[in-house]
Amino acid sequence: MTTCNPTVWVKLYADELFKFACSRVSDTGLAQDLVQDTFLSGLQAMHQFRGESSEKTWLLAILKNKINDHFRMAGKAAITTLDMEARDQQLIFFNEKGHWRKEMAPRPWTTDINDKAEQADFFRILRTCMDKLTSLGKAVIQHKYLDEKKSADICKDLSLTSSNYWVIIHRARLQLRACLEKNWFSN
Amino acid sequence: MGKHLHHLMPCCKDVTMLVEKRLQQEPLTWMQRLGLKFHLLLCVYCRRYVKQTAIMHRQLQEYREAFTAPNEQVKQQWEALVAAYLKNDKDL
Repeated sequence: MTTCNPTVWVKLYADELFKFACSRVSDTGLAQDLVQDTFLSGLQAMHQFRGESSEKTWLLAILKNKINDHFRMAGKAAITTLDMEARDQQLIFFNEKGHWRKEMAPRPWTTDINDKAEQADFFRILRTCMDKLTSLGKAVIQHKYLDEKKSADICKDLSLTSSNYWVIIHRARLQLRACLEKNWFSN
Repeated sequence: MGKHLHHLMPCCKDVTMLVEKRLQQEPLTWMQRLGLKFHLLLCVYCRRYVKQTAIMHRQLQEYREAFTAPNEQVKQQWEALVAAYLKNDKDL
């Protein structure tokens, strides 16, 4: 039986776990708590560790569960109302002929992202905008960019057909663009 | 002529979808590529959309890298926590 070695957990995995938590929840304190809980749960469960996956993968799986639990408890569960999903969102952006609605048409972006400090501000807004997406839209964007997955794998993970995938990511992109324009690039 | 042109030319909604596919390296047919090119020649909004989508794409790729590591103090707390747990576990 493979055993695990908790004495090196913090040294080897803390950074990666913390970064992952930060990419999913909005404040650093909460991310710290989640990582700490992950270590604790890991310690409690270490006798069940079978070495079927690496220690890192195992701890990351625990962290993912913690994050899901957090959102479930906070009432921001991955289930949003179905009518939100079903409503034809694209009519918000385009008219019946498929042309941009005047108020939704892309405007020129004036604010550039010049340095790391500005980028940090921008990322804060980006995260707020991502939180406003539908649960599915957000999941697709996260799988695509945070987990760097291929489209085919995302479809498999989220049980989507290829055409659904394109509709969802297209819509998410339209929403994200509009949100960023409103909150970052317009002033 | 006008009529035929209308059928060849994708609308803005279609163009934004084609842009999405192109961004994700999905192969487009030559008709789609032609329609996209032609539409972009004439439509300032969609030209902006292409530019802005590229910026978003780039920033999203950097997004994950942007998070800093936890500070040393926090890590020391965690180390202590693990050590305390293990000691306790052995004693039991």
